[in-house]
Amino acid sequence: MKQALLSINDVSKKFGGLQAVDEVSLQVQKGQIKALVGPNGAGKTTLFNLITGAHLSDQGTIAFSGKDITGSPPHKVNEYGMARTFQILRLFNKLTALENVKVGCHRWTKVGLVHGCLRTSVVRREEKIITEKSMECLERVGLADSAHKLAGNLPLGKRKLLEVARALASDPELLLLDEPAAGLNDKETDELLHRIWAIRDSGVTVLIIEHNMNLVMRLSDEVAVLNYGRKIADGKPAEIQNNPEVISAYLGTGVS
Amino acid sequence: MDIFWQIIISGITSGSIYALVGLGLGLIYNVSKVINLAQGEFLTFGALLLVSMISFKLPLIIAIPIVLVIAALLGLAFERLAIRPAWQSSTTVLLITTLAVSIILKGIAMLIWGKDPLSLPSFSGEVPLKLGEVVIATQTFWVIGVLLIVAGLSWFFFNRTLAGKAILAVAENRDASALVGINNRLAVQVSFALSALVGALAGAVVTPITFVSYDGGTMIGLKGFIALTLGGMESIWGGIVGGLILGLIEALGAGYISAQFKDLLAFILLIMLLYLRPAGILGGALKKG
Amino acid sequence: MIVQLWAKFRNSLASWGIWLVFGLILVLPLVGLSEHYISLLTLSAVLALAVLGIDLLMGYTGLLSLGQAGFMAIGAYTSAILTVRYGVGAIPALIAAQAITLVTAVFIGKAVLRLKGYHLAIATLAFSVIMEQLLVNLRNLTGGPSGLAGVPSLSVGQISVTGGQSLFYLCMFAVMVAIFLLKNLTNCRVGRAWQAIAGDELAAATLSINTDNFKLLAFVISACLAAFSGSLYAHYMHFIAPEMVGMQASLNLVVMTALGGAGTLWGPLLGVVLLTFLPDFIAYLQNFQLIINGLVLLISIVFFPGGLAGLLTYLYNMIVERLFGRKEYLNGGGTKNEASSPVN
Repeated sequence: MKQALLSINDVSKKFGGLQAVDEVSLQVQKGQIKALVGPNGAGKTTLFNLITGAHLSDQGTIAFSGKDITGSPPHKVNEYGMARTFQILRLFNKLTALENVKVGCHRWTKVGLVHGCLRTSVVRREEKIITEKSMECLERVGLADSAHKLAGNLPLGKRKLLEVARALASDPELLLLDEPAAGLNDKETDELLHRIWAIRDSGVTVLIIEHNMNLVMRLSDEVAVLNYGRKIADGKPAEIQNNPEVISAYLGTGVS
Repeated sequence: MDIFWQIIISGITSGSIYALVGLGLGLIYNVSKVINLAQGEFLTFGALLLVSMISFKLPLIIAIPIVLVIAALLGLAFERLAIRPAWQSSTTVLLITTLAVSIILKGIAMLIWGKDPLSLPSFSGEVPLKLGEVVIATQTFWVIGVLLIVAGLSWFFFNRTLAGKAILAVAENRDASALVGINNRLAVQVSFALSALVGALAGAVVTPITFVSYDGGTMIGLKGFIALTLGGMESIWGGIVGGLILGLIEALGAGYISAQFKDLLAFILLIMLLYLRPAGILGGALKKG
Repeated sequence: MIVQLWAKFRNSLASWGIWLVFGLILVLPLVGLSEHYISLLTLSAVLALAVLGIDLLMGYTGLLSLGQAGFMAIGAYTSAILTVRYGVGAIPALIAAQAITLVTAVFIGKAVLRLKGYHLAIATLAFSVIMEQLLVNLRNLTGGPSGLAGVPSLSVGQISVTGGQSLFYLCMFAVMVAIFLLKNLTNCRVGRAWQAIAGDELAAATLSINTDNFKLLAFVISACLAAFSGSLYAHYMHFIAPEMVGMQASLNLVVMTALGGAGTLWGPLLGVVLLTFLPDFIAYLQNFQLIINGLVLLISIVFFPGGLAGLLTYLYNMIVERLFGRKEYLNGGGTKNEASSPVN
């Protein structure tokens, strides 16, 4: 079996008396779109936080590209090649859309104190590359015309896309999207679908948390289902659709 | 041994004042999440107002209630004129708003009472009480008594009255309390009024022991904050417990180490405390994401 | 086309405007500005260095530090003690002050920067109080509450900067260099990292920004600016006492920054100049000084969270809009937002 890009083994997290994530193992293969679904409170976002270092896991290991990254702080996780978006948006509201994306370029840029203070040619060259790259990322999500608007003043749909563009700017190998379609209308959702495919086709692996089952079935190559912090199913979308445990836990609750 | 008890009594006395300031700060903080840098000025105003009342030959029994009413009105005005317009702003803006108010209050105090430190005679005569070799100024009993009464009344208010329980509910969860129909705005107003009142009362009883001048509030306000941090910010009672501990530590430090470094000790204690217990105090703010 | 040209002109005005103002101030002594006002401008320039440091923390990195005067104290007293007591030259003393500050700031920064919001504010204020108490109590070294007198004029090698004018030009030069460096720094990757931390620390961290390091960097730069300001302050006054660089001074510096408008570099300078000159202009209202200071601060912070800079930007945009009937806020409009975005 080929080595997974992201490999989570028996990871658990407890908040007070609540077992938010319970011995979950999960593999994401390079080049695929993997979806993480489950009812509210199933532990999906917590799992994201454990992967990206926002929380420390109580037990278990996380490996990325064969490297053990368990317990790495968020900035290290991004350096290794993972970028994420947030369910509750965390944009830099007082900066413009373009500046938000430029922050995303931090991972592969170098300028430090001395060059920065003197604005040497190194800085000017790097800034030019950053601006080009950032505009390109904005174009990839269709936000080029909003580049100079303040992030805080954009409508919700665009803010969500902006988080995707910002994450892409760090040139990740794996992109983690936390409910990018929540709050979008059908047309926007459809657009999003195509954009995520395009991102995958550009060589970025995607792990996505999503509620919208229709979207998940169309979008993903593999689906993992969480319920009460435990993984109850993992496989191709068609298999998942017919898994009785999944139907009772998730589809049975009447969520679309 | 006599020196020890002397130190303990002095510690409890100043601790009682810190406790009252801490209680006021904690009340405002828990209800409105504002750290009030003007808390010390409530104390200054209480003290200086009482000095004026006494100079009008008013008896204490009339003067103190008048001072308290004026202080409560001051707290209400503070909330209405400064806090409410800035309500939606960031932590930084709110903190600087209270800083601005403290500057204004200092300015007003300087205008009315001048720059010289003022004091009052003790409420019950200048002859101290002697227990063996330990000498206790009568005013000490007033200070400790006021703390006990305020603590008792607060307990009663927050546990036995509807208004008090409502305020506690706001302190615990603002959204939930709004959902069940509690008027958050009113709770914030009441917290400012009560806090100003408690501060002024502390100022009134402490004046015979120390001198009070227009700009003396900042330091005592900070001591109140140290008290609150020590006792735990998330509880209305934290300030009282922390205040007494702080008073005792200061007195012991002054008595056995060096009186010069009394203030220094308190602030080093604060930094150490903030450093050693960041998770306990912060509640893991960053990790909530 | 015209719109683009106009936008370009406005952009360059925003970046050159500040140098234009500096140029005007620099010629003031040549056209007969009185010694008294030159002296006040010099004081403004000295304090501006400390205030720029606060702006870096408060306006760009989103960290409220109430302890800036504590680092001013380190600078001022190191310079004063070394020159007065040990006869060290002003420049070596200044360098020593910077070195001591660097070490202290790293130490203090590592301790307090784990704290957030109010806790950070109070911890830094506590640092300032501790410094003041130490200065008062370590009499043998610092001269105690009455301070240290006889600090010599600043001298570079054999050239002594004695006259009011030469000190004025020196301090103005220092401020302009500081502004130049900080403007560059805030407009590159480092500055963006700071602004990202101010915006959302966790999001910044998930984008490879080592938030602890960048916060410490801002804190240390800020402290070194404050210490530099302190050294110049001691040489300017020829005297230093604890209360000049104590807790109240810390608060005053923050007041200047907030009043001028944090996060703009030029706004806080307005705050410094205003609060340095105001007492002089309204000397006959001396008793109302505190009330006026407090009211000005309250009104500006509550109604114009961007401070004077925010107010001026708002007025500027309004006038442009009236004159040209065109809405072209570069950043999407709104006083608060305009003010909080840094100069280009």
